[in-house]
Amino acid sequence: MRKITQFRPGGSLVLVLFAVYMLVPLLATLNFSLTLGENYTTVAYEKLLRNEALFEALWHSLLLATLTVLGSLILTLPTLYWVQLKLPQAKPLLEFFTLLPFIVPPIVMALGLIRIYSSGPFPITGTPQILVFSYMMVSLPFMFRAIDNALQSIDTHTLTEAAQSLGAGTFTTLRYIIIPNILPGIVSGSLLVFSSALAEFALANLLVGSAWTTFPVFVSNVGRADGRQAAALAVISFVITWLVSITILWSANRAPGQNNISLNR
Amino acid sequence: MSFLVLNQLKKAFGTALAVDNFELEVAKGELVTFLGPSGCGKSTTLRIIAGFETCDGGQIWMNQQEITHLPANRRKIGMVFQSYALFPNMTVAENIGFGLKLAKEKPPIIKKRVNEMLSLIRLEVLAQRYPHQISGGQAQRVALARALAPQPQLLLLDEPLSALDALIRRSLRAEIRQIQQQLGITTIFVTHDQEEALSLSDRIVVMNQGRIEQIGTPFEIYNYPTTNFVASFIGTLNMLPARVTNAAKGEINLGGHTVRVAGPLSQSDNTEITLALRPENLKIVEVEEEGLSATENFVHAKVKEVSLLGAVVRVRLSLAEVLLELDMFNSRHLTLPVPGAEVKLSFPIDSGLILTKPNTTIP
Ligand SMILES: Nc1ncnc2c1ncn2[C@@H]1O[C@H](COP(=O)(O)OP(=O)(O)OP(=O)(O)O)[C@@H](O)[C@H]1O
Ligand SMILES: [Mg+2]
Repeated sequence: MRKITQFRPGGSLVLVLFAVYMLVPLLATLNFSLTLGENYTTVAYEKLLRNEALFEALWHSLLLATLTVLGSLILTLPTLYWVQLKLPQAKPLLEFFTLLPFIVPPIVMALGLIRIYSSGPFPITGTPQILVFSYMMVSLPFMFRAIDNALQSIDTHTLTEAAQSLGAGTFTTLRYIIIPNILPGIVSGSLLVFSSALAEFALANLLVGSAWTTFPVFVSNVGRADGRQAAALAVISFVITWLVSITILWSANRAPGQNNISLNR
Repeated sequence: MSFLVLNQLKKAFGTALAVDNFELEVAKGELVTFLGPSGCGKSTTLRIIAGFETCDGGQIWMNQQEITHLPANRRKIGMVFQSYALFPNMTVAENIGFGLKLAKEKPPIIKKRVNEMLSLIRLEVLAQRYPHQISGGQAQRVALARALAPQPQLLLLDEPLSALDALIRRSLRAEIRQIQQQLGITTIFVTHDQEEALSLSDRIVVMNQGRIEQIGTPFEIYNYPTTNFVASFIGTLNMLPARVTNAAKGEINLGGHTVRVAGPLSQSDNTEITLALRPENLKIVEVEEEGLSATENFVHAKVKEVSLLGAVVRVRLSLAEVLLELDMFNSRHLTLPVPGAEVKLSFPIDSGLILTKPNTTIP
């Protein structure tokens, strides 16, 4: 026990190097967005804040990210729970599916999606809907891994049977037993999905483009005209992601009975 | 009709039969244990009763109603697991109250009932602890209280004591039996520990390879086993090769001695058989008492080894080339037999069981 509390210079050095590596690009971006030649100026931010398109793009992206997280949760959580309980043989197949988005390059995926959804029963190319669905696909591995790990770290099978013997149906068991006990996994999966959806550019640009501008597409458009504004946008988007993360983590920690779980892990 | 009736239950996993033609009737308030070696189908049978496993054939009746196809969450059957399975996100009190909450009881009623259960298991002080903050023995008592709180019709326990150390195991065993009798709840207890089964059951169901070998009280199972398997699974047993010499008079040849067993025997003369004798039925005697020769057998044997097990001294002997074990009570005035010494053994003629082929019923 004593070793853990001891000051270890090696460990601190690693931590400092890590912080430098992460912070330097951010600080450089911040610096660039605030300078014009030799002088400090906030003109880039002022221009941006007067641009209504920014807020529209931001709103689009936040909406998109939220819907992606919800859709992904609704799809992944019950499926994994069910597979873990009743169909463990299907697990390797699921894992293969979740790796597909990593194997197929975004450009290929975009072309495929356009081909399928330009006509036929679901002509949704160019609409925000196609982005939600394709983001759910692309971010599936994050949600899948996080929830799968969490489900494996508790005795899902026996806990479910214990709940059933006390009168709980499947929904009640999920709501009161499974979800509270895998909340850390749900939170970290959601965070990953949320931030990846917020930052996605290639699919948004190819599938929808200026028909329904998302934040990264907006950043790219602005960047072509004014690099300083683009840097300011990067800073803004970092702050937003950071705020959202803090909010989710904070609300998860306030959930009843949750403190003990994070201590337990 | 009995409170719980299991009628010809069957379950196969692939081609392997896990439960085969399981038939049992349990009276209200009775504690029945399923006893048998690992993999004999105890848990599977219990899980079929609980509704966690479907059966391939047969019916389950509880309280005059057929529940064979009722989902587990509507059977009103409490279950205690080997791994406790307490909900980690809930306190001890919340765990115990969970079943009542699902039954939509009012909060004051839940609170009252939780307190009753906590005092039943004597853990009032731990009400606000989380499962990871209590010991294994305490966790299993909480699991018992949680299962009992909604007043189930039937309580099932699957090796509830296997994860605990010997001392706790024994005290909790007594506590479970006491609570079971106090509440009068019909209970099925699964174990592979014969001492556990013998000490707490009203009746024992001995299982082997998915089938029932024998159903009986602990006394019947121990003293009157009806199959070779039960005889050799419960307690220690000397299995001695012998040959029938006079079936009508119940005489057999054991290592050159003619001994008598409760006859007449159904085997014909010269059949090779196995004589099963419990170590505690054998005695070392000084002289052959004439008056006893009507009820006792006397044979000569040689002491090979003496080991002190505590309350009991176990003596290994050889009778011609046949090896056997004898148990005698330890006491301070006991003269221990000396290895190498010739001694005279006696055993009651009705204490031996005649076994023929393995796994056949004893006539
Ligand atoms: N889900 C399953 N799939 C396939 N086979 C199973 C399954 N569950 C049990 N079995 C098999 O059924 C047989 C009976 O298993 P069961 O768990 O009922 O034994 P048990 O008597 O409880 O043993 P133990 O004392 O080791 O718990 C075993 O051969 C086991 O391998
Ligand atoms: Mg078992």
